[in-house]
Amino acid sequence: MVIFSCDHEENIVPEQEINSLQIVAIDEEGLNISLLAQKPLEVGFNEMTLSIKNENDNPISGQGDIVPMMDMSTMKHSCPIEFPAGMELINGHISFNTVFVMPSGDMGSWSLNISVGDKIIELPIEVAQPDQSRMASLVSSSEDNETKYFICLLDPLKPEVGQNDLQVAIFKKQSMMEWPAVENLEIKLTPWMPSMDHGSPNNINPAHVKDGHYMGKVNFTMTGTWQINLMLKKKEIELGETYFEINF
Amino acid sequence: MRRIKTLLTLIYIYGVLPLFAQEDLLAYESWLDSMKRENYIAWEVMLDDLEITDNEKKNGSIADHYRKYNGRDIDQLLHCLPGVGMMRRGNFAGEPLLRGLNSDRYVVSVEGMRMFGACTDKMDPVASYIEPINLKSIDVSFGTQNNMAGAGTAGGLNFNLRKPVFNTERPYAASADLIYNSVSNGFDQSVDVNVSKNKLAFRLSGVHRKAQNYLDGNGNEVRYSQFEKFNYIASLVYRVKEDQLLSFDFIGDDARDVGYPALPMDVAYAKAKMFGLSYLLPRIGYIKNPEIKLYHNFVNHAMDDTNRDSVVMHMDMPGRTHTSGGFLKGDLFSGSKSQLAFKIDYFNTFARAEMTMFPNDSDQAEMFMLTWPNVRRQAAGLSMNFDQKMNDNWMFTTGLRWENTVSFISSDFGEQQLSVFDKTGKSKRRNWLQNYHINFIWTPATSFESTLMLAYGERIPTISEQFGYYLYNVADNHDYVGDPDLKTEKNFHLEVRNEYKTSKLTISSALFAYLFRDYILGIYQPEYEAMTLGAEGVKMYENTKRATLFGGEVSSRYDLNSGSYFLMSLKYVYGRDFESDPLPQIPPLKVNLLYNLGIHGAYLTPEVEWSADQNRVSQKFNERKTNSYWLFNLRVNKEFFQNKTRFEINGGVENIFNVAYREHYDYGNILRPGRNFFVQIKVGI
Repeated sequence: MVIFSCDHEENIVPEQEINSLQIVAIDEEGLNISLLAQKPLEVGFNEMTLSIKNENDNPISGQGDIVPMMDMSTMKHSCPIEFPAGMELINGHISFNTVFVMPSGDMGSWSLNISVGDKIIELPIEVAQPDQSRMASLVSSSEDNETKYFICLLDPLKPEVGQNDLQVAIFKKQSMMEWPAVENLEIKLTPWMPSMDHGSPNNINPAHVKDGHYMGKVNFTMTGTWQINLMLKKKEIELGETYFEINF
Repeated sequence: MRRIKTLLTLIYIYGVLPLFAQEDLLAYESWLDSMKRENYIAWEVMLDDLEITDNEKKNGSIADHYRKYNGRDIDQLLHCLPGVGMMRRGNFAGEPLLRGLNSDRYVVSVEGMRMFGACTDKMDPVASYIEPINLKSIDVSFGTQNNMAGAGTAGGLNFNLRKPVFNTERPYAASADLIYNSVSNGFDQSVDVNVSKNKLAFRLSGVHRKAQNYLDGNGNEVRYSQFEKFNYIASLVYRVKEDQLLSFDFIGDDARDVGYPALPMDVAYAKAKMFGLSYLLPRIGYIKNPEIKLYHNFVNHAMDDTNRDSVVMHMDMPGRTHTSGGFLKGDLFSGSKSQLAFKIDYFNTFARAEMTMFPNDSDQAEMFMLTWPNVRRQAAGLSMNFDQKMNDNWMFTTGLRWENTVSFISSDFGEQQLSVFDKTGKSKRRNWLQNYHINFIWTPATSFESTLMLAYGERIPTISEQFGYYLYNVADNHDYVGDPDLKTEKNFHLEVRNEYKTSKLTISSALFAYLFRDYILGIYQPEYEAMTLGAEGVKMYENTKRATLFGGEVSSRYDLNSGSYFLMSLKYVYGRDFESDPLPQIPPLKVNLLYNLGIHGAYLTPEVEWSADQNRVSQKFNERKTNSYWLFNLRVNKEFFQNKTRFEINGGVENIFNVAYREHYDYGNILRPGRNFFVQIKVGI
């Protein structure tokens, strides 16, 4: 279950309770930093919490910043990150969501560059490749500049026969370090069963909700291998098409 | 609409009830052995020689003929009856059509026991689990006449089983039957044993039928038309007291490796078991001649395509149903002038069918769906029939039925599936069904009888119509999806029957009109996409505003002095849908003529069957026109006794000129069998 708390704030569950799995912890520069998440980090959307305390075990407060970084030795790049509750450290905690666009491995390694006050700490992390595809990308050449869009599947992660909530988050790679959310797209959704050559009825195209997140409904008439095809459009101009393949 | 119903109800309570309240209660007659012909049953075909009474001889002359000469299998027998046709998907398990309407609309029962086939593609109509050797009679009713059978809008089919016979002179009786059909190289064998001793009588029978692919009129082998089946029955009657009977019936039927050439799949097995327990006694309180019955039956059915070549994708489609119920029926009074009969019945049924598809690409996951998502259904009904003889020339009969039904799905998976269509099936759908009829019978002379029938009835949607999920229909190449929110279908039924009868000539005719409201029909949904590979689209069942059927049957018999006779029968139905387009699968005009010639104790019967073109086709159903055809058959029958052994030999040739033909309503492009030589030998001791 992914809790995305844009439009129903009263339902927010304290992040500490959700993100209870400690991913990594370090002591550096007099700070005790631990990274908590719901599950081991993987490509796609990850909700995390950083807990930062000083040597005396007192929570730190103040402004914080986090920059995810992929070091591929010849080059470095970041990935999309969201601070749904702001960048203030509250009671030593800061919550953030990261969309990892690739896994750690031979290609390179991920870390989080954490700034607290005047200190910058590098926290190395491992990002695994999940079984089912969560990230898709497409390059649009129909705009003035060639733009690379990254589409992340948030829902459904546990698809069922029938109607499922569909949530995707869309970002573009403006530079190596700038990955802003894209909010002004139209999306045409077409679920497809490749082995049967048919789709499903009564789907609802995802519409923008907040911060590059789009929500709709996807219907599966049976179990099996499905493709969730997404056609991105901007002001009636087709930017391109991509899909997620899921098995259940 | 509701107002009309209320009015009808009031007419009943205030108009009819006082009529019989004053009537004397008369002594019951020798009811144990009587087989009453009830006026709401249009045709009753008697199949057991012992049981034919004068009544049946009077009314059933045509049916009686077919019983004797066309009773080799149930399909053939039903196909001959006035107003009945057998829709084929292969050489096995035809689906009876009553005046062009299929089994969605009428009520099927075995000895009053409700039963439902377990195949979503209707490969197993209930008739396929019955063998003629086990039948005493078949009750055929049309339209909304037969309120006792259940709530249907096109009538009812009830199969009455043969019962063990108490016979002190012949405590043991047995018969054996052997049939050969050349067109399918098919052999049928059956045995039948009856034992009666003191208070106990029982009957055992077994049937085995096996046929290869048949040849059509062009001489082509129709692949996947083979079948094999076993049918076994045990009936037991115990005379609790002189006038009280306890009766138990068990029927088992196992069909295997049944081909359906018109469909994309065959059947690996179809297994049915039926259990029925009845108690008959002369009286319970005010109830005379009551019968109390409890029953249970279940069907397991497995569609299979592993024997087909060129299957794009293999799939498994098992289905099952089980049904339990009971009823109490009897007379509140019965006399020489009037009778009031009633029946209280209840059944519940469960249906589940699933589909698993195996993609050719092994990287892709298996696909699974519930085509009947664990559907549960209950129905409780009360029926009453009242007959009153006014004077020598006039009589009327009237009846009603109220039925309450509950339908829902009991599977979470099925409920989720339905969310695709923004529907829900777990909430219980309740329906009140009402049925009323009144018949006026005028007998101005002993040779003439005329009946005017007015009836109204309703039915709930079938399980497929209400909860079916992407059921492929090969006839119009569409996937069908049910709608849980369908309303009931209503039929106003008008009919006039006339019978003229002298010692030489009998002519019976029936003219009918069915005026349907909320007629349930699959309607094409352009926004939906077919699931089945190659299917054209999706149809969803809808209550269409109206449908209208007109038609009739004429049958006549002319007896010659020599004992020979002519039989003629004619049937015709005209149907149109809510847009005044033709209804699908409506049979064209058909005429049968035969001459039964008796020579030296044998009978020679030449037959002609003519079927007109059907040019009124439903384009919505992707129908094609069907050509007219002529068929010629010749049958021979000889019966003789040697010592105390009875022999009967039937033989002959059907479709003598090897005509390539199909009935308009048959599935697929499959032709019916070509020339068939057959022989049947019956031995009875």
